[in-house]
Amino acid sequence: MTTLVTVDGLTVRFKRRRRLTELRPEPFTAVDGISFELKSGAITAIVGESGSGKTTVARALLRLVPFEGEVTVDDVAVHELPRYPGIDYRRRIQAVFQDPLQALNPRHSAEQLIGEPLRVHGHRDAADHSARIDELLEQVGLDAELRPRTTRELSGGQRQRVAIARALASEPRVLVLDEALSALDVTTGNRVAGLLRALVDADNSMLFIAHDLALVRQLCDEVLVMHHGRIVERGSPDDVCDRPQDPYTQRLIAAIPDPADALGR
Amino acid sequence: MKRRLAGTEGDSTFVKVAWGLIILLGGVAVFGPTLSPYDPNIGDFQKLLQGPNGDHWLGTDNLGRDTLSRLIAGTRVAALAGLEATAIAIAVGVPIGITVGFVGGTIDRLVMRVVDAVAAIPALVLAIAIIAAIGSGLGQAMLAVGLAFSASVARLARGLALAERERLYVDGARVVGLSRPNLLGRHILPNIGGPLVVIATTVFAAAIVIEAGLSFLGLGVPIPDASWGSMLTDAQRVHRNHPWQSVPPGIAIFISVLAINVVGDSLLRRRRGESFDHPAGHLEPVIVRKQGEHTEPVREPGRVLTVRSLSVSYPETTAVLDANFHVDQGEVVALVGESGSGKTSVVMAIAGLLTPPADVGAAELSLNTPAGDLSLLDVSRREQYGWRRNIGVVFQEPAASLNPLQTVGRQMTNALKRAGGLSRREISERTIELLNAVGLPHPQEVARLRPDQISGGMAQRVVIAQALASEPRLLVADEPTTALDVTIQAETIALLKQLGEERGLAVVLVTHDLGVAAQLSDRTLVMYQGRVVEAALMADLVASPQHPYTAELLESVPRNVPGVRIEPRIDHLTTLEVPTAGCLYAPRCPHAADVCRQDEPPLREVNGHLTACVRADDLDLAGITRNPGVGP
Repeated sequence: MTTLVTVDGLTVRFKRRRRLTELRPEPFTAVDGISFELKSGAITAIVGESGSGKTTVARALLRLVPFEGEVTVDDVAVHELPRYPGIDYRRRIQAVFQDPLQALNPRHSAEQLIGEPLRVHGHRDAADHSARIDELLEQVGLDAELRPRTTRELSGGQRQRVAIARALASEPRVLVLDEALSALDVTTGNRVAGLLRALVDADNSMLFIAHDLALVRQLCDEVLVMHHGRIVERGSPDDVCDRPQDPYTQRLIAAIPDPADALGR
Repeated sequence: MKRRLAGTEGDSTFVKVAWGLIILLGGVAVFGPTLSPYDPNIGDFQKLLQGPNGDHWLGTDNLGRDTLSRLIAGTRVAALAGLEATAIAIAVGVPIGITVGFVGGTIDRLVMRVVDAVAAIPALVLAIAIIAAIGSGLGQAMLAVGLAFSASVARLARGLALAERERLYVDGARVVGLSRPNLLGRHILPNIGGPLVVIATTVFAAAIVIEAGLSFLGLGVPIPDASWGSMLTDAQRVHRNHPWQSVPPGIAIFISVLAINVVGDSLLRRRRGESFDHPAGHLEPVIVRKQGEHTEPVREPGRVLTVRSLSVSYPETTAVLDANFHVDQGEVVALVGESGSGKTSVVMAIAGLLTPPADVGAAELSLNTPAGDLSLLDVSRREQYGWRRNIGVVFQEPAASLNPLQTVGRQMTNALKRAGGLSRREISERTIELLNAVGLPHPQEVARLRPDQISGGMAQRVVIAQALASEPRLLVADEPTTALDVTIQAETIALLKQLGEERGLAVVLVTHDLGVAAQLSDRTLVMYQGRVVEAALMADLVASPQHPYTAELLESVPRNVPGVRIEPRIDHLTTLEVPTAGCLYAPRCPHAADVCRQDEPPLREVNGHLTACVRADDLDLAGITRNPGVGP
């Protein structure tokens, strides 16, 4: 197990203008000095509710928002990179977002969506390019006959698998999954979760951002609970779920709806 | 299922006629010289100012020139003018707009101030100024018009690019490693093309009017060439004695501009999924057809809603087939299934809210209200409206259900006014009372806030309060907690439960999450591909499912229990075809046998459940226990 990502004192502030007349808006701290590591072969979860700052952490790692603190991804010091980092950084870290209908260009076919990162990252030879698309589709459990379909012509699970194949195209060391299963049906989400488990290996690492602690417990190897921009609890899934220390974690756990609650009614 | 109108099938006759006129005018513009019966510029001095006759269908003008021929020649001028102005406006405006919109910052602010200044000058005035500088002529005039409109095109393109830049797929493409020019050309430009086409039609129509105006003033086409505007100039000189002269060019301008605007408007509405026919722009809900055998409904005491043989179909799919259920007072019935199972179609049909092209039929759809029984079958719009007033509806996304510009109090007032029969004072009292009932602290203060000033959980409470405004017997909730955070979800579930018990509401709850259903539901119907595959008391369903699909749903719900891990799997289950015979679930079912692929299994009773599984008696499907042992 090697450390692929080191985050040290990550802080993200936004200027939030509450009124139109407010000339110097007060900065709002979305992420407040958090530190963690991602290890190879492991899925680490950040759990929290909307406004907790968990998505902002992902956006900082992906260099989509400016941040303070030190972040190293696969030996690249992200805090030293320019605002628009080159493809050398992009190939190392990729992302899958919550709603593939929004996160994938609605006009592009599965083939175009997966082919785009391949071309950007240097698979320009036509035969090689096409073979690689088939290989990626195979890797996420999709049939090659789905290649010409656009996102609207695919089911929810198929769409998210296309998004995963697209993210895998540059062979990233780190995959950020921002609520990647939240928009899926439970049955589909379960299968895609199985796929993620199958894709994580000794060479890569995943950051799984979610609000569903029960799913995180079944899928992930480490859990960070975020609240108001800070990590309030961290540990192994069983420890966090069975022996929550922080009151916020306790509330999250109490709120999980369990089918067994119907028994005896 | 939720498809948008495609092609012209949703368009009214009005829009189709407009399209026809545009095609006709385009044809005339292209083939003008060959269609023209006379030379438009050579007159016959024997035949001045004639009315319509056999030789000259639209008569002749003050120089004896054939009006029809001049009108045809003018069509080409108008079309060229429109094309040139539009092309210039788009070619100049779009690149400026999307570039500054995408880059943003200081460049954006500087360029947009210049654009604003240009846009502030009326196009006609700017055109006259440019003509004064570079000389008259159609080309110059339309260059001027094009430049004048490029400012408004640039503003629109900037706005669209700004909005598009914030979309998630643009971030997605950035993360993949695309350069900025690539992002603009491959992702942003194609996605803002639609609205740009719409603005192009407005520019085109305005250019035709301005060309006519400039030619009328003698600043457009040179004499003696024909243009609709110069024809009006000629007509205006003799209009006291020969009023007919101004009719053909006047109608030509009127019709062409109207047709272009109608088409532009219909394109815009099509993008928004609205109809042109309805004044509010929205499609009217369809009326539910009566179908199947007619039997006198049996009235059980406490029954609120009865649904028999409900079917919903779309041109290419059957969304719901033969759904039967009822809801009693104080009872919560859940419809559970994955997306595409038809659960939302069922509740939208009950709420009388399905719009074309849906086709809805039922043997019975009745509601027991204090004022008597209501039916939704073959009713008038008025009766449909009355039906809807007896149902409270709560949808998934609270933000989308509320008007962002009105305060909470105002929206509550509107809902209460629709319910009717209350004085102003009573309305404000009821508003506070309802906001209190849904557990909002400080209701007076909340009533003064707008939806963007309250949290998602509070917004959903407001939506529930609105749904209760007409004191309905039935509450329909479509994924009411899915968009909410887990802790807020738990609070909302508790609220719905409390309201159901206190007010004796009958509730139909739609959810994909059996965990949520388990908190609220008394009875549950499991749906798969439009069919109800199992129906049972919620506790029985969880303890001993009688359909393999229910078992799969139960197994998939993540539970906070030790020892359960998600196993690595790639499974190639994703390209399943829908079978044409037998059980629809068979291709996914781990227990499927030959018997499952023969006939579609009907619902039947097994162990107190209704199940559509033919093998239900043979299978011993695993349910859920409260304290599971260490996992499989």
